[in-house]
Amino acid sequence: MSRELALVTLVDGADPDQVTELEESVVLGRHLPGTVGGGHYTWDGIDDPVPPGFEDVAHFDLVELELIDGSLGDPGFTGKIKRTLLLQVQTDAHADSVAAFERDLMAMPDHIPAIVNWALSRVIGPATTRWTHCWEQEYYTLDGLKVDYMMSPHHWGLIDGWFDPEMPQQIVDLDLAHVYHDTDRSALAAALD
Amino acid sequence: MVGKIHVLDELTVEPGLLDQVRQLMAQGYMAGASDRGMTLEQTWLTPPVELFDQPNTLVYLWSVPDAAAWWAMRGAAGRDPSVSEFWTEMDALCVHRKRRFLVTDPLVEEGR
Repeated sequence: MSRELALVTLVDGADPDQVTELEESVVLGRHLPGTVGGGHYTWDGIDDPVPPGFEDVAHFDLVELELIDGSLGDPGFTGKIKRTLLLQVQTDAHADSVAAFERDLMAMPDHIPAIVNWALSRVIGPATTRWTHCWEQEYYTLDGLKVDYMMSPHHWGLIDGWFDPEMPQQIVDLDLAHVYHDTDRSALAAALD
Repeated sequence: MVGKIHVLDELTVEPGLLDQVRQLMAQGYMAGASDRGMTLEQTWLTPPVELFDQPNTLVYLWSVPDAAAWWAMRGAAGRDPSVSEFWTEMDALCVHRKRRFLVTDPLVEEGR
């Protein structure tokens, strides 16, 4: 079973009234400061996407996800942070390296208790997407992401080697979408159900 | 809380290329590394004599003050394409290269 997720980027100078209307009419997570490379909103596929009448969308980066694995530490999660990382494993990466990378990512919750719910998925569509993987987590607090996750030695001392252009084992392209937003519900509970 | 983090680069080099690798490191990396907050603590050669029939390994030990400084170093390197270009050039001279990150053993500090 697959599901969809999209990163939505508004045009420069989007009509504020239309943006307000958009935010009130559909379930989009508005990205918080510190987000990198992923536009303005995350749409998690649990409600309608951007409605046809809304014209101020510059880019709608839709991906179809096939779950590798995930876990719900709190199926009744009611907030507060959903984080999504869309990434591209380089096409010449060895299959053994890709498998090791996926294993390392999925071990992160064992080392970082602040990760409440998580899912690792392969991007299986559309054919034109550049993304290969989607790594999602939910946290009770923003510090869970910005401090516990980012400052964990497991992160910078091990995981980041797959991303770091100074490391011989780098297999992930530097062009990432690292986005996070406030939420009052678990997108992953629906995805992993 | 993690304090000082050491960055250990091990460059294994074919015979005859040690001087070229040293020169490339000195001219192509050290100034930028300093700008990114890295302090060169020590360099070593192992085996401790230049070999003529098998590789030597040059070891560079750097440090950054803490995890925030580590991310600052990492972010600056990621934004500068010349850094990955440097390592591509260096890798062409090396038979093997490894970078490791080291901290004071946290398990000992926890009393284990």
